[in-house]
Amino acid sequence: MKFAKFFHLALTLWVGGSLQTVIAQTPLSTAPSVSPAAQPAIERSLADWLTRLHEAPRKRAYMGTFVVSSAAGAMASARIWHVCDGDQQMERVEALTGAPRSTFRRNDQVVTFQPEAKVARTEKRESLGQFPNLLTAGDSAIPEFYGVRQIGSERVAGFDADVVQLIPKDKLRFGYRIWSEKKTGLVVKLQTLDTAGRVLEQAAFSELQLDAPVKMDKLARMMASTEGYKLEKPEMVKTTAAAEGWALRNPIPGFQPMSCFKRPAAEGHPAGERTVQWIFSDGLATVSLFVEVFDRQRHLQEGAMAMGATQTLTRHLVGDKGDGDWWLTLVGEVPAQTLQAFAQGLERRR
Amino acid sequence: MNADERLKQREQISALVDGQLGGLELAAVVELTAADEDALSCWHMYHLVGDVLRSGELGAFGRDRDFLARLNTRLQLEPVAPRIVTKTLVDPESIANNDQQALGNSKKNQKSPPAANDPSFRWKLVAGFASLAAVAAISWSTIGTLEGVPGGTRLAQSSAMPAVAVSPVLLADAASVLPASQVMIRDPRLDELMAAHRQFGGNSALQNPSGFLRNATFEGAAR
Repeated sequence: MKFAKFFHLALTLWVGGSLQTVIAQTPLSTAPSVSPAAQPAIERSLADWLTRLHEAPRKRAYMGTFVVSSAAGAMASARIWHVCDGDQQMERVEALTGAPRSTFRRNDQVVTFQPEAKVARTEKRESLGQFPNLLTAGDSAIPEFYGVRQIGSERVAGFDADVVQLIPKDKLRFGYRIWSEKKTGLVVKLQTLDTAGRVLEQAAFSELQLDAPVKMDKLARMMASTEGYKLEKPEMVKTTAAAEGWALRNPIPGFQPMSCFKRPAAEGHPAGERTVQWIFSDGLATVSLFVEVFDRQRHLQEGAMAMGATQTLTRHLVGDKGDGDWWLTLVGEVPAQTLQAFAQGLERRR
Repeated sequence: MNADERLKQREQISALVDGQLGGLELAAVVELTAADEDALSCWHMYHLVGDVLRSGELGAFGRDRDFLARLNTRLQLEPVAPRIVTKTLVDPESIANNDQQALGNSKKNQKSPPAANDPSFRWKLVAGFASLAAVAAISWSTIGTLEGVPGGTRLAQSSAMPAVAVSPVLLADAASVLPASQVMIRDPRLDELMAAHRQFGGNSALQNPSGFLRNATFEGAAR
């Protein structure tokens, strides 16, 4: 009975989501089904909006069901608990689809439990703390590459929300449509739009309880109870692209290099050879360049693939510096042509 | 063929898809369907409808026949096995005869298998959605493709090498890139790198609040 209920709910959500996105195929101007009568009360700048969206979860406790669906029809959902206490934020994400897993986050510390494999991964996601500094430092380039338009209001998960569209100013990035709860600013729905304005992916709360009684100490206890789990910690070494012998011939407009890591080699790969991950961001979208030594056995196929808003591109890079060939994998929430520009611009400098 | 005949043919194809035909009737419908382009695409469509009823993920359409065509071409290129089968493998006549006997033996006890769209409660509930889902699934396959990506063409070209696993043949829809959920065999290494990108690549103003939730929700879902 319980299952049947969930099944119908999920199906309704999925079909609803698909329909909505099918509707969104029509030109951009008509896409959001927003009542024209509801005029936005306050005009906010892009920076104001981003700060508001970012600050919202820092002041609230909530729980809800979060659904992510892609243009290809894939759907994933999770149960979310969120609580904050001064400068501490905690979150619990219990996946309802795919392999069972629970993810806990305390600020930038993340632990992912995989109960079937009895593995707990711990990692520090540096990027989670970076953003506010980006905006407050005043040197954010985001408004240079995105415009903002408030397009009215709509109800999501039972809450009135402002609908805001972030419009890219060139073809190198995707657009976003954001539903922000009116009182708190919390993002209750987010769509990623391709360069033609079609929805590639959407993420939304299907059900949300604001100011829910979520207990931080309980989440903390759950996050710490790794007994019986094999602890895994990704072995990451900070480096720079220059130190690894890589450079971009021409910078891609708006994308700044953020950080560079060496990741452990893939299984069966010669020891000592690591994958270099070079990360770029324009403030909203992120691109990762992975470079590894070319291996004829494993690296069979160049190609491009999309999963929701995430695009990938793989390329065989012929080395001209006498240190062999390279295999390049690009991953990012950006149009395919942006990944191509990165691939073409990458240069061996050693 | 007039409208009545066509309707009757459709019903027969539906019964064929549901596995409700036997004996001479089966042989006749198989023969008819195989010979008629229109009937064949109807047969494909009925299977698609059945697939969508059972699982939305199976709702990829339009490649079955391309795949069959490619498979046929590739089979013809295969080195011929020493033993050559001269007779057609499926002989409708013999199926009919065998089936007739089988039916004769146990006709009274035999219950025909239920149709996929038998009026059971759950199917009825789902069917309404499913017709929408079918429409959605079909429209997505066009949305999901990216225009003019050279990578796509390369994918198609390299699929001509027989050494590459089966996946490229299934993937390579010349000059188009398929969304991952429709890809049948995925590269685990690419999955790994995508996960790495999500973990360390979230330098986004949208990362917190919703990006993290998005990634944690999506992460591993496709694995």
